[in-house]
Amino acid sequence: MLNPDQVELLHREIDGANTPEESAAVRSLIESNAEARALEADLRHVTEIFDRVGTTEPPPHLRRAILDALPRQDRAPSAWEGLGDLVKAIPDGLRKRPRFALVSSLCVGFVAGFAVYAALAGTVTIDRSNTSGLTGTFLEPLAVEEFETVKDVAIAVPAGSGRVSVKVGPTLVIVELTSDVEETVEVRLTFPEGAYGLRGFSQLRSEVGASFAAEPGVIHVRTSGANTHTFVLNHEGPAAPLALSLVHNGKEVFATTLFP
Amino acid sequence: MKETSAAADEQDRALVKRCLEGKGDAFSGLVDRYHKPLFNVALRMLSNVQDAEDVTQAVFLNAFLRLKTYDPAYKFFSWVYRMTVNESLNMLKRRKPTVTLEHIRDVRTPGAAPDRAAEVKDRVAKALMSLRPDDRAVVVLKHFVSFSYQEIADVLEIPVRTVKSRLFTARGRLRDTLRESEL
Repeated sequence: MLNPDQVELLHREIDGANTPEESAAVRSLIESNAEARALEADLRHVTEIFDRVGTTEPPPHLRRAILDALPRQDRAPSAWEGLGDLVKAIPDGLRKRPRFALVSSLCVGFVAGFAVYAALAGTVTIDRSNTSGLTGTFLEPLAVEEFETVKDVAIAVPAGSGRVSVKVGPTLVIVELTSDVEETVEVRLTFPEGAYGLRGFSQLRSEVGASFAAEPGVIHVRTSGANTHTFVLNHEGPAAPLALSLVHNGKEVFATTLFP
Repeated sequence: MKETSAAADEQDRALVKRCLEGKGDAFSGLVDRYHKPLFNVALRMLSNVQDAEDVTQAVFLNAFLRLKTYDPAYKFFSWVYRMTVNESLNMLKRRKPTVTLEHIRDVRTPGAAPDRAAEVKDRVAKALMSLRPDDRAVVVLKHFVSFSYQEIADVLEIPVRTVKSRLFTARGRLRDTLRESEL
């Protein structure tokens, strides 16, 4: 019966961890002890089988997938310290899911990419005094424009009230509609087909049931509750006529010309 | 020629330093060096390619985000291998109960010649999966990464004597399992 030291010696021999003296002792043990011979043969066999398995080539896309999942590295990682802290604040179970990691990295990458794009594309200036707290995200940087308020009127409808203001710049028109209505009201912005393009749309609260659709010559928003909708339209040359109407229960309850 | 541990460590440190300095390609250098061995460790731990990919990806993302907290007093490869083993163990805990491997029969196309190499891989994978995950980690690091007892101890943060005890016990079990599967 082999003692624990002899067993360890045999394992260490297989692992190449013995000194020359220990290896000599192993050889002597194997020659004189059948059990040691059998164990040594078994251990070599196990090792040889692992050697035959070898290593497996990772899927070819893995390297790219790893790199794509990383936040864009425009600066040293130290600049990501804040992000690291944020990641630590995420519950372990969620944070350690690779798909979560992938999605969150894509989000971070998108935000970083947008910032770089904005920086490269020129100064993005939204003059809040001119846009009365314009909110939302624009996929293209807004040109610096001087806006002139051409309309600012109160709205009264059977189901509630609101206010609409229109600001016109050399290439952009901003329409801001604030409303507080108990029932669903459809807001329509109408203009000659092709006269305006929709550059951006935002709403202060999306949870109150607003829906949005745009088609040539008309933009619809169905809204209820208290909300603020902002439309950014672009135009070439002089701004074309623009009208606003509100429809409640299939009936037009308010209409005004916004421009000119 | 296999890179020595000291040379590998030196190269890792240089890449980490460059990465912390903001050199954009430095981290991809680390990915090039380690994505294959880390994938293999995860694969042997999990016996599932998709899970191994997920773990490898998660390890690199964590390494990138925590690179600033990496302590250069320790070897970089110990750090990433530790993350890989831990991530694999976490993945195993998250797994829903499945049919145990011994109940899975080999499915082969009728008439097709058996692929001996694939068969050996399959049986070794099953034998590995029959081990306790902690023991499996030691076997994987010893036989598939060729780490010394001390390096395994560093990666797993356990004493060398525990490494040896786990390894020797696991080998005994593997010997029996492989014998049962006629290998």
